[in-house]
Amino acid sequence: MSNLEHVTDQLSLFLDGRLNRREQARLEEHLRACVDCRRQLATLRYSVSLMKQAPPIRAPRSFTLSDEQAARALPRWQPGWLYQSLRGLTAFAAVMFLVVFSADILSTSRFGVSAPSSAQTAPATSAPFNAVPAPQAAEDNQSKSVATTAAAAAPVAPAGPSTRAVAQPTAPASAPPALPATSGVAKPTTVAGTAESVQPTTAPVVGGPAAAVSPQPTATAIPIATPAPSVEPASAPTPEARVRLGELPWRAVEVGLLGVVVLSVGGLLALRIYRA
Amino acid sequence: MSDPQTRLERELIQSARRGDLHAFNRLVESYQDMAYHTAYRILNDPEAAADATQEAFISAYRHLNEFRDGSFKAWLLRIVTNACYDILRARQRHPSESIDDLLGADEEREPPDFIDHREGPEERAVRAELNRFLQEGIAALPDDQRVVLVLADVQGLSYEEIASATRTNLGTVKSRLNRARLRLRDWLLERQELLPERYRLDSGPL
Repeated sequence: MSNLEHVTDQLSLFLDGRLNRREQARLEEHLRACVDCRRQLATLRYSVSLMKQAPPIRAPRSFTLSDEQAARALPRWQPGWLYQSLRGLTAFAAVMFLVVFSADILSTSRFGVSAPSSAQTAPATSAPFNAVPAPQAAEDNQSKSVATTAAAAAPVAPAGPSTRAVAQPTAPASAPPALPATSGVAKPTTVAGTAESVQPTTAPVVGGPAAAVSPQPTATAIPIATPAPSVEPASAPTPEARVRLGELPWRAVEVGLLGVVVLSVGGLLALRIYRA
Repeated sequence: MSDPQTRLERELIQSARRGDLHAFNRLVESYQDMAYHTAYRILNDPEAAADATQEAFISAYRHLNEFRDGSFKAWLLRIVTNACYDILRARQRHPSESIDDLLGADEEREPPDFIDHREGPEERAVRAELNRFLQEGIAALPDDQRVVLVLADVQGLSYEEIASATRTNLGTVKSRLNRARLRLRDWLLERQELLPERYRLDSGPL
């Protein structure tokens, strides 16, 4: 019986001459022996031939295109796969950018708070109590310094001066936090400088005003920042330096994503114009 | 299709591609019966078939540049099949509309206009009977099987052309066609007495 099933599977192909030679020979042999399958084949052949006699039908009207139909047919543009995928890419890159960017901001501000631990390994262990987090938060934000981060840094910056006030008298050790605030507001590159600037007691003084000024400008802040590390020779690059450097790819990713968005939007516009 | 016809057809396609609407409409004229017939068999509804046919020719005009060498008929039928599938899908979304068509409406419906040269009134009545019988049998098939059966046995497309028209593979075409034929055969045999006598299977020795 399973044989019969197999045979009926092949009957249609047999009628169309689509069996290979061996299958065909085997089926023919079987048909000679099996009345049932011969009947199957005969009825199937009959039904197919009947189908082929289905009377052809005349179209009830003419389907020729009018000038208007033809005109409408042509310019109507259905977005192709390229357009669709570009659109998808744009949306994806934009979302990714927002995700990365906000993750960046969130993580840096939290990082700033937890930073003291890394700062403790640095020279400034005993230094400014509440002062430490504040400036460093400012720093971190700034080291990222994509335009808006300046705003994020702004609230932190005010804390800077107060720190400095404390820092200056205390000890050289207290200086670093203060300085970072100033230079930090500005520089991403000077990260290492924060550690270097540990020694100078004078540095904070420089830092004070700078911090006050720098909340807004990010780009311009960089030059202000650079002097800070150069004020004093490097004493020892700290873990901080490594941590900050590790953050750099974030910005590369952000810029990259932004670039993708811009490029694909440009591509979409180009496609539209080209097709129109 | 004979050679000179193919050459003429190729010229018409070339002209149509260059924007000659008149040339395209000559192609429409020579294929519209075939296209409508196919849509009618698949959709079992004159109005829907006309819609699908018109939609197919508009789409063919729009995509004429995508036609490569090969059978223009098969290419066109692929577009017609697409248009039919669009309507079948719409029916699935709004089944209520088509149920009226399937029930009863068939009886009152005037028989379609057959292309036939031996037209006597008696002959015509017999053909109309055969047509209704077959149409009912085809309509009883599931959509996918019906499409393949119409393309293969009504329009004579090859398995490969059907695979391309229905966007499936050869294996699927073979099994759908086989199932469709077996099913239709059983349907026909059960109702043979409704057929005009000359179309019945004579139960001679096998």
